[in-house]
Amino acid sequence: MSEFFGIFKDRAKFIWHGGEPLLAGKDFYLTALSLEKKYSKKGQLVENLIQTNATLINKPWAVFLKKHNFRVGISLDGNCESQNMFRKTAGGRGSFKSTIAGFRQMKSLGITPGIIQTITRETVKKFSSNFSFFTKYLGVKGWSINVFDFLSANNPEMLNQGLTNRDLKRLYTECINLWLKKNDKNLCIREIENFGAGVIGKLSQNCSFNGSCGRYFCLNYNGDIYPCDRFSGDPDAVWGNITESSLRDILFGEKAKIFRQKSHKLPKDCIKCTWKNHCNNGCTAMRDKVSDKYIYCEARKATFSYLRNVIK
Amino acid sequence: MKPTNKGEGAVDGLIARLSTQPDVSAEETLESGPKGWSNNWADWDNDGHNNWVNANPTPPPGGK
Repeated sequence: MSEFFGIFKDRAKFIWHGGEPLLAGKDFYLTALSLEKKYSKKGQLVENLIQTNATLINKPWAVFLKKHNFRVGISLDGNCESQNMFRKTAGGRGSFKSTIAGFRQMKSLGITPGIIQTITRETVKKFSSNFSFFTKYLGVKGWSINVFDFLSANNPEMLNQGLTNRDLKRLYTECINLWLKKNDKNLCIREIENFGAGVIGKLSQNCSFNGSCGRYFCLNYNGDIYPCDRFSGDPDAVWGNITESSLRDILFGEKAKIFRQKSHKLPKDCIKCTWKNHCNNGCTAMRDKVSDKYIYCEARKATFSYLRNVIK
Repeated sequence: MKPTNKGEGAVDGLIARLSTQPDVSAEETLESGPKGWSNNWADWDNDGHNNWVNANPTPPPGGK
């Protein structure tokens, strides 16, 4: 913590991930908060964010998160059918009921959690009904779509669940059309924001669009440091271990430097692309091992063009 | 394919939210980085990535 606050002088942002990060318990976070307080300097902005499945959020947890200003994101793929398709409890039951209870608990205390909706080949077919579920039933004003990519499908249960370019192109088109139809100026879907930024010549806030990959890191429970959690567990991607080297040496070391150079390198196809500076060859973790090209290049180009026609 | 609905209100909202973001011109490259980007790694923030916890669509201070 001491070293971390020495490097990130103006702003320090902690995103607590798991597994399920609430399993660590309140004492764990109280220790983290006290260390943040101890080592942060006057004027430093410190933020804590937590990404949870919300199944453990009862009133004491909600009070705790609110009291300590945690910004909360929940993993919710949609309605009962979509959520329970892959997000099951250890006992094999669906998690929808518990997740919604946690969501409502937070709302009752004035916490508006963000939502990540992961889309698979099964749930992509249900996108329209899930869009209605979010906007009408839950009344949320924004969420993020995470694509279950075909490179991540290493769990036997998830085989064949990775989206193809065709799936993704259809998904984004449908999402834009539903967003237009809803016609709510405050409805903010992260993917539309990212494509929209490119269309009007603005900088996207998203690392998979703006080329900021490598300016972020993920610290694993065992001390390993990765460029981000998408690389977590990949022995080829580890930058170092905090128990063996200083944080500064790892973040600015040779492995991190090589990673950044590689993540910023564009394949030949990209050089002439209209969207080059708004795409930057996509997420580094979603590139083809041979061509080094973003696997959803085709869908991304088509979506940029589609949204450009809308905004025109 | 043509869009199915104009949705002017949605588009206006999108453009308004993005208006505070730095411009990125077609000429800029990854090596130089778009205008408004800091070369100081510590200045960087990241709202992209595998989380979306910002329920408030207003970009955080710093105009990133």
